[in-house]
Amino acid sequence: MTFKRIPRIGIGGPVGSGKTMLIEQFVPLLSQIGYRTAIISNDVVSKEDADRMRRNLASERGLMPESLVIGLATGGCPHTAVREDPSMNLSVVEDIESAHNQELDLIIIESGGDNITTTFSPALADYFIYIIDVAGGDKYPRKRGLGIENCDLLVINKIDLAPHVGADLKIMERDAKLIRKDKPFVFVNCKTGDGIKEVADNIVKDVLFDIPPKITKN
Amino acid sequence: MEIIENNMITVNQILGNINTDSNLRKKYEYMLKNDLCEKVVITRMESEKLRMRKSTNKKTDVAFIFKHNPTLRNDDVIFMDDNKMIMVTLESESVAIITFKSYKDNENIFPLSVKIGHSLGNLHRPIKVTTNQVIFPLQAETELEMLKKMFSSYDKFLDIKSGNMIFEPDEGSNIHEH
Repeated sequence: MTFKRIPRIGIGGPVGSGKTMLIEQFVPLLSQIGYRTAIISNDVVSKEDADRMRRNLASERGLMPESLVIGLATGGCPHTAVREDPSMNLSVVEDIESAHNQELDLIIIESGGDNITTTFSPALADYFIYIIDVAGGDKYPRKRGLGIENCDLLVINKIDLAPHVGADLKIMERDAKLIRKDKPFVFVNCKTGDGIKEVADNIVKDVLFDIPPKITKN
Repeated sequence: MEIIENNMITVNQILGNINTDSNLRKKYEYMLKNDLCEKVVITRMESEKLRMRKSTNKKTDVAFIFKHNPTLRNDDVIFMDDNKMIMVTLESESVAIITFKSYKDNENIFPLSVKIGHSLGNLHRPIKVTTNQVIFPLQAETELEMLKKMFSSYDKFLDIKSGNMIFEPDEGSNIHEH
């Protein structure tokens, strides 16, 4: 049975944790395999992150049409636009699905920076990545919160900063295992790309179900 | 249901629940006896997902692809043929259980119920209500202490304790907690 719905990933995390840069890192890897993506970037007031991704991923690298990087200034608390009332995002998602169902493999929805209880409405996102960063301290995973505990993939960014902020990655690893049980987590450095392939591999396996891209590369 | 690439089973409907469908129950008992049952374990939050990939306890690869919100429940049957029955098992979780010790001819019942409802509403929790209990998921054990403190003046009417159970909220009371 084929549905019109295109698989969707939600990405949440605190302000400055690296949500936008994570997208900028894994989209090229998915693109190399042939997967075509669209991005909806939520922010409270500005559309700065969307503008940056459009420039970096679409205009300069040609990985997607510029029209498929869409900025949404949601106002209010960011989680309301991805959980309590995702209608603004759903409206954009449905427009994308109507126009690009034949070729798009994945829609990425970035939340505005928010707190550790961020989650996505299952009506909006099929898979939820929550990103935190080492600079917040190695206590972060064990502080729990719905985002850290329940996301499908926990990404711990900025591992290069660990020695500079006195964070012990082994403690973060131990606590992430304890809190998340069998659910995956990945250490990454979005500046260098370390660990990003593992993120892309998780997306291909758990969201795209290892099914080849809808359209093979030109 | 269908088999797609990589021997993955695709599930796009719930066939029924062995606790409410007597025919399925009989079939389940037969399949169980013949070691043909498999379980896929999910969390309550995953029970609403439209798309996810899971493995059963016997390593069968399962892709859930629903068109509408499925609300998978414990013991739902999602796949069945002559050789295999796959069922959903919900993970148990920590819950708070508030029990009204005495609720007949109790003049406190109305204000107390409203206050509990107000507090749980502020916590944005899904709930399950029985004749004398309200049950909801705990995010931390410290929440129980907070509740006990809040309702300490009603101590003789209420019993507040934690437990661990498969929590399935009442229909219409399943909000997205935070």
